[in-house]
Amino acid sequence: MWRSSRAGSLPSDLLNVGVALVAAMLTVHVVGAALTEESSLPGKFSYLRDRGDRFDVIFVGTSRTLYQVDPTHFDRRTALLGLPTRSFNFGLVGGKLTEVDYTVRWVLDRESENLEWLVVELNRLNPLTAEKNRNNDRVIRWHSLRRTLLASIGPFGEHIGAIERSQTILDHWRQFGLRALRVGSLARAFESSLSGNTTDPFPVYGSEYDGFVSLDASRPHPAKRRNREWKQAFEEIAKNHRRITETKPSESDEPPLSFATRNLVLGIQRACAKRGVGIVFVIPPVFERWDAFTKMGERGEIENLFSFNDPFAHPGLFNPRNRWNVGHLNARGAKIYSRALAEAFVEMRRVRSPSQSS
Amino acid sequence: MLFVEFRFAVFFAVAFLVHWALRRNALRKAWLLACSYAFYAGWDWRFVGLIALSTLIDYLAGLCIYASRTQAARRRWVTISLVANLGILGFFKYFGFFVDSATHFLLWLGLPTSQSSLEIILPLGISFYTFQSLSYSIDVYRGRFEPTRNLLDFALYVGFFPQLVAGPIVRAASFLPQLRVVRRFEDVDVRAALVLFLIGFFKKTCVADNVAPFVDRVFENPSAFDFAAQWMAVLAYAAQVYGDFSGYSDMAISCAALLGFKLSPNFRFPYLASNISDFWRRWHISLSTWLRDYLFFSLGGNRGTRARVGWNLMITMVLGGLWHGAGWNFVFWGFLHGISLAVHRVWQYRTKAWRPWPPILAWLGPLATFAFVAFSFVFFRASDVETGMAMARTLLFGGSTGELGPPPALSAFVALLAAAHLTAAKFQGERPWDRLPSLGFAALLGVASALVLMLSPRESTPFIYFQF
Repeated sequence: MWRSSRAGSLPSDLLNVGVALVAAMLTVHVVGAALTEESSLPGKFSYLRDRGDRFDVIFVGTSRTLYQVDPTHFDRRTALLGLPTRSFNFGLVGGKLTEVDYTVRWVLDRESENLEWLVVELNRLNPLTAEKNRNNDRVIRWHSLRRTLLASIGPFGEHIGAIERSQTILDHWRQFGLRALRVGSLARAFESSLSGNTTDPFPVYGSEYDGFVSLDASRPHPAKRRNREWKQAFEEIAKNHRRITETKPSESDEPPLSFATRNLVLGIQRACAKRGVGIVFVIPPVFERWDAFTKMGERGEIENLFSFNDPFAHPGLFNPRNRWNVGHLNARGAKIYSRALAEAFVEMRRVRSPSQSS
Repeated sequence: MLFVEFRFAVFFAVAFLVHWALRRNALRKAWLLACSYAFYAGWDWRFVGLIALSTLIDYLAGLCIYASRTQAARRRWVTISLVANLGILGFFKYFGFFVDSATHFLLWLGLPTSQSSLEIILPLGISFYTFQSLSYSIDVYRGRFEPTRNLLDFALYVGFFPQLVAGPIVRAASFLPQLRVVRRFEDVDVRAALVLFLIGFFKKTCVADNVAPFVDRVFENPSAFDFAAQWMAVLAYAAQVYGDFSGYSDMAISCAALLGFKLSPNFRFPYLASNISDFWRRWHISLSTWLRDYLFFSLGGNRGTRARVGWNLMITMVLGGLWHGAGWNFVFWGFLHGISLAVHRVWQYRTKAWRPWPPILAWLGPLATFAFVAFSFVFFRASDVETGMAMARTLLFGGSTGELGPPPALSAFVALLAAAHLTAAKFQGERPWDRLPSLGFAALLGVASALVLMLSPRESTPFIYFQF
């Protein structure tokens, strides 16, 4: 290769490039097979891997799950209503729908004997990634071929220009390449032994760990925050409350669901059905109508859908006293929400299987 | 855009394909110049004008020097070139250093001062391209060659992207003639270039970037680590800086080779040097020869008394240290090397009668040289002289209260690197891949590339020499 006469060498060059690529992929496949993903799993993933069999209900979602679904209150309520559960909060801060898809499939692949239900938070796909997370393991991990294709489709929104759009799409494919070629996988296996840093970046979880994080516990309580901050948060909540309660459905300017979002949501449902695990989709208490998801539920495309984004149906969840900010509930709001989830869950179980009610 | 990033692969692929698709030499050079400026603009487009200015100054200075009839006029033009280049370098790189040093000195004297609030961005590669550009006008002044009248050629010589930001510092006498010849792809030793690129990539990502976390931890808080760990960090840093810089040089040379240009090697197994003078003939060769030819010889070189020669060496190395960074720790590092070079001269003179050395001493020289070089890197890496001194004291006399030891895996890794370095030196110049058939070489390259990628951390640290 590449020091021969030029006559007719282009096909030969292309063949050599192809052989090099095939050899590289085979190497990745063979060496990569010896390296399991398990060896580098952080936090909740490794906790669930080790103790996941205890849970029959797992909540999967973003920070709207992490900070708002309290398994302790959920389980207490379901037990009171005669259908005791042992649940786990698998919410991840900053998660995207693609990561939720990845997490759901990861949980299903564990084939936990006791797992009966997955409660999955609904969200529209946002394909943009923050600059600081571009090489983050969490971001790269979900870049399978299917999810990368879906993330490349978008939607990007009108405010995203062509250059940023192209850069984002290229970046997704770069991340796909990093995952496919297992770039850094061997380095990661040796990382802690070379750096000597054996501190687990994630805290050691006790046996009672349920995955929930209270915003009140992790940051100063709103009452203790500077008045100006709380005033701004309060005003924003009130503004959004007015917007959502005063806008008629026909006036809503929400775009239709993208192909990628629909595909991911329905894909999650199919994956659960295939494994015989029940699935519930949840619209969290957001200041968005998300009628498109509601319509999917009405049309029967989504089997079980709980909606908590109606401030008239769930006024407590939109009361500023129960909110941390416009995006999340505080601990009091999380308690209300978790109980409401539990009630809806038990009601759904009773409707589906009246014989299971106590 | 780092050489190890995916977007560089895309950039280079485009540059490479278009370059060889073009037939006319002038078009190829224009394309490469555009790529080079685009490469630089990818970091900060505002400083593209600075390279262009530096280029124009020395292009005109070269022509004016050559056209001048009197020595005084020639000297005037070369002085203009010197002042302009060093002025640009001095302002962007050393303004803050000089102001801070002056402020501290005045405060020490008890005089009132006010702190400058001017924060100046250091343009990437300024130390390299100003030296490169300067060498041209000095060589024209010395009558080494005629200046080029082709601005495109000169601009490409200064701004050629493979070596623009971190060397090797290329001499006009070796590069400009290559631009006048129409290169053919048939003459490119692609196998050697690809192998060299992979070796450079391995050195940078698998060696330098993998030991960097431990080195950073120790240098950030040396007192937390015991004696063995601090020494291990020093050895690991020696591996890091060599892997980082020689890796970059390898990749730069191979990229240039794939485009049909030959650049001189920049490293020649420096850690196997038998003495400190030999080390500087093997480490960052393009800089050490630049300092020798344009600074040491200008000061008088080896002419004069031994004290004078020692003084010349000291000035050269101190300024060489300062070139690396605007900090007293770099000056001190240069000072240490200046002292050692001067001492070695005296040693060579006084031990002339004892040579040839007995075989057992043949090992002592390289070991002692490496130990000194690695030790001196403490000041190169430390954030300031005080930190460097504190660490150096521990390294020499012990007494660390830290409890954290070196990771056993790292010790094994460093030992493995040393063995690999020795083996590579033993087989240098050999090209076993030439014996492979085409498809065999392609397959081997694919396997090696995959393994290197898997051994590379996902997030690459910036090249150390980018900060210079």
